[in-house]
Amino acid sequence: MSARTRPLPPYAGIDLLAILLLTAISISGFWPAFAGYRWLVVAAAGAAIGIGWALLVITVRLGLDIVLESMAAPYLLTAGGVALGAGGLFLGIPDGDVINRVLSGTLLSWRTLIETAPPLDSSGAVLLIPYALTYFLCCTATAMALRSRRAALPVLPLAVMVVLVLLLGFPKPFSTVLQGVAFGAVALLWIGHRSMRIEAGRTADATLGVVPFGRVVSALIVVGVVAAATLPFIDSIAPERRLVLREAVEPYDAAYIETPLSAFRRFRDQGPGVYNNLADTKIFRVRGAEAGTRVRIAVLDRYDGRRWYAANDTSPTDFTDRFLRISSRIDNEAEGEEGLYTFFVRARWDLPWVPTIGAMQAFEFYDDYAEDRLPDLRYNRATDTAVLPGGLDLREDYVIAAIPVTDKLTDRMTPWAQPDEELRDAAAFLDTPAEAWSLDAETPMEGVFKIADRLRERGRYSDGAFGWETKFEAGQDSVRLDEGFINAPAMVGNDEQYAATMALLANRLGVPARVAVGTVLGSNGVIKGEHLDAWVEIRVANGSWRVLPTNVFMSRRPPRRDDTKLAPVRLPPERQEQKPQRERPEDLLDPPEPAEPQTDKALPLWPLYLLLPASVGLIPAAKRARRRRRQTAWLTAAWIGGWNELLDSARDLGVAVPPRSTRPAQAMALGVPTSMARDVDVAVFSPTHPPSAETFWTEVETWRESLKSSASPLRRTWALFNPASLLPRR
Amino acid sequence: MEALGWGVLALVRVPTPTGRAVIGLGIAAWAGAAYTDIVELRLIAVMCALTVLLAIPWLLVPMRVRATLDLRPPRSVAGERVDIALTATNEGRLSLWQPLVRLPVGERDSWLRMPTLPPGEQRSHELGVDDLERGVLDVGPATAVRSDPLGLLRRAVGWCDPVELYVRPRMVLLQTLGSGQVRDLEGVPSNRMSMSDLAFHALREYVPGDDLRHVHWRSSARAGELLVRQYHDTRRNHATVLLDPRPGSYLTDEEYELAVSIAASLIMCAAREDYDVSLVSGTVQVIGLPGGAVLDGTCRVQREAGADSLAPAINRAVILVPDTSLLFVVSGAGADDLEDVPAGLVSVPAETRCVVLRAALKESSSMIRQHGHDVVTAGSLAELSGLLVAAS
Repeated sequence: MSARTRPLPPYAGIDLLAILLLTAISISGFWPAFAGYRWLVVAAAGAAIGIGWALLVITVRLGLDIVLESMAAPYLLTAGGVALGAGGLFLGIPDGDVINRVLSGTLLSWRTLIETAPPLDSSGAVLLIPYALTYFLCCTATAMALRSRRAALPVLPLAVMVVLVLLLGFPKPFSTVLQGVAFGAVALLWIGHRSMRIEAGRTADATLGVVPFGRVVSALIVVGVVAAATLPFIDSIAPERRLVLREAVEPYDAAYIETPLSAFRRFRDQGPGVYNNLADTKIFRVRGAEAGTRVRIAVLDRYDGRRWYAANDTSPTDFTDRFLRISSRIDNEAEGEEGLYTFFVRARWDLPWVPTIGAMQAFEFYDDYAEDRLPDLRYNRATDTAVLPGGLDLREDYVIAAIPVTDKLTDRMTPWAQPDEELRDAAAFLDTPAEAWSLDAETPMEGVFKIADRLRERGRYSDGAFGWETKFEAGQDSVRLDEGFINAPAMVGNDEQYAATMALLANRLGVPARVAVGTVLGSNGVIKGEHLDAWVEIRVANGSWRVLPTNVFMSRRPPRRDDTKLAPVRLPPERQEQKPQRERPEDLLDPPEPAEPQTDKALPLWPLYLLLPASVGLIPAAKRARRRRRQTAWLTAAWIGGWNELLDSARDLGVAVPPRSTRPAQAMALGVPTSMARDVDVAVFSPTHPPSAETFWTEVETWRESLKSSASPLRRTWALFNPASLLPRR
Repeated sequence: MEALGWGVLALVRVPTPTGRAVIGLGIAAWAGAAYTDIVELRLIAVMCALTVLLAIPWLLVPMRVRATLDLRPPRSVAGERVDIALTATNEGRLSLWQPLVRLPVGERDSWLRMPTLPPGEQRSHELGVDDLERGVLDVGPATAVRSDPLGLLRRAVGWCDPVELYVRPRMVLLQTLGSGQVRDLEGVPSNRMSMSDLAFHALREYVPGDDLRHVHWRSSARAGELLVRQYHDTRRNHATVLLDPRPGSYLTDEEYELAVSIAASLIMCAAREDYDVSLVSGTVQVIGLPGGAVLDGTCRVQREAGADSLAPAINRAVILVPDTSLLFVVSGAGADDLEDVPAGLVSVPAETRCVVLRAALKESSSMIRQHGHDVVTAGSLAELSGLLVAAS
């Protein structure tokens, strides 16, 4: 075959280098998202194959449109082998199944990417994302760079790449300096280099496209200065939160699944005949954990007035607060030594919560047959809890690698500085007890402990199972906790009510708190239903969550029928009067309105802003008025006015006119025929009445126009606003 | 207000397409950053803005250059090549790095990159322009593009005023304009020797066969041998070429160019034979000037709508050039009033020879004699020479 080939344009090497650099900078945003190095190899292969395809199509003399239309075919052919590692028919040619997987993987796996806790394993359909990004966008950019004569066009696909990578990335970017400043600098340099090549327009021959070395150096200096000048801005313009798909896409919604707190009575003896009661059932056995290790089943961090539940995005500061899928490893920071813990499931566990220990680093099922349930597992790194819809069946044993975290809480600790406003509002119905019981506390944490003491002393414990105690119902809605518990004549409940109330009261004091359900392991590692407790976790200043153990705030004394009836909680009388002053300003619903707000209002500032254009517009207006005055003047004044108008136009245009000399001399300086000057002289100095100045004025007008048209456009515009002729002549 | 519009337009033209793209990129990045809070986009936007701002000082650096344009050759022929030499002297204090100069040639834009100009030095650069079209082309003004290192903004700086380049039509060398010219005793002396005319040249020895009437007896008596007088041949031939300017006379543009070429070839041949030459074509009337000037006239001729038909045009030409001895009427295949030519020729003196030439690309060449004048149809320029020999 003797296909005619087209030589590459000069400086194609520079274009390819720039494309590779910008691709590397863009794709580096995936660094924290993937584990291992395979994704880098796949991305590099995508870039290489994309660039290669564009070069091939262009060297056989086909155009940019052919590249764009044909680039899907090599993608479908190569993606299976490169990214998925699929075999296909032979010699890497994929079969229909592989192409199908490539198509669906390309379209759908971005969701896997953003719904999985980083780092992802470098395998499977997720790798199609870096491959597709680098392949398509490098191919487009190469074709544009080689075929288009627009300087900035090939930067567009690469800008799209960096934006997509950032959108698929994390709220905390990989490197702002690299992906912002370095990308911008390389892109600008490249645009500049291309612009120098095509500066001479379309008809440029080879010698005109030569980029002078001196200009390259000065372009480098300019871009260097710009990049250096941009660096100080980085911190000042960085916003708190940025838009990333990871945050925008609705994750697994854990709000509606049943919580162990709502089902707490199933873990306590309810008498015979309750078929799903787990109180005396051995549910789990944990191997590898010492006695005293805290196992957590569920953490509930939102209260909606009816119950505590687990939600996404509850933390205002960190970005790990979502139920995400997990890969073989989870990037979950914690201090301590990692341990391996095996959970044997001894009875069907129908709640969707999976017991874990500490900060989990890895999860896998003990037996292979349960492996296919792994993609359903969700883990929330902020609460360190795992959810598996459908619960765990007998023998679905699992092994976790986890770092046990320290969780001891003392009343000397300072709580997390930022109160959870949503929970504080939800706990508004407990305002009085929260305030009354923490009256003398010096710190919020001390207040929490005082409240815990008051709860423990005042309350009684009952599971509401037997005899007259059945009137104490389960539930944690605001009515049950208020009139049915705190302000009831008999304050009776079990872990559910105590933990729910305690967490709400703590939040009302401005101490972030949440409810957790779990147990502390005994020496044999067996977990029965009756071992489960509900406790409160409190966030302290360093950001960790510490445990307020159940027995600190919960009474174990059973209720008695002849207990004295309790009065509803009230503030001491002297405090009641002071209350309005103690209220925080943000709690004020209706700030008092000033009597007459209009009178105090400052004068509006916008007329000041009009002054500037007005003052600019004043000059042309003044000139127009002066011209009209001169034109309508009487007799000789009209002649003199016409001449002065000509001089003033010249002055505004910046033409030097000798101010104190004869009119013919001025005419010479202006390039105006001296006969005009003579006419004026005759009209002014002749003893008789001068003739009408109308024809003279039309002559003046034509000469003014010619003066204007000989000036540059900028000069002409400036002449409109030039105040020179309004100032006294020097 | 018009001035304001001009100013705005001048401002809009300051950024190059690249500059506009960078500004657009910056605005898009800023909008994207405002919508998504992605810091990297905001940084890119800030960088774009800073780069454009940093480009402004480069435009303000003055560029004082004196330049001249030289054309080699100063007159060209359609389809030929002209070398344009731009010689520039840098009168500023800064050296200019390989300035890019835009040099329009007629409708065409040519660019050339000058060598680096150190202050006070003079450099020149040549630009060859090929395949020119007939006409008077403005070469220049040479404007240098002052732009920043990244090529985002630009300012055109005029270096020199335009010069005119005359591009003459293609011509062929004609052997003769045909015989039978009228010799006029009151004409100008030619280089050709003659035995009987008015302009005396010299005395020479008698050779047998010379007419005895021309023996200068006094000199012969003084010299002791027979001497005869010899004269310059004097003649005044005036060839007038009337080129039909009506657009309807020509079927295509090529045909008109052929007609112009024929006219130019005739003019050149006539001028070489020391005729006085005139060219009349609509408003272009070049009468009795040297041959070069008349040929320059062929650069300017254009078709003119509303021009006279042939007979009145011949009349007018005879009035303009009363002493015409050779009249060529050049027209095209579309001219339908060749029958009227005799009517126009009524006013022409009887001894004036008239040849009508039709430029007809699609027709085969022919020559017919008609009512005392020849009608020559030329299918191509190459055939013209032979046709005229045949017509003589």
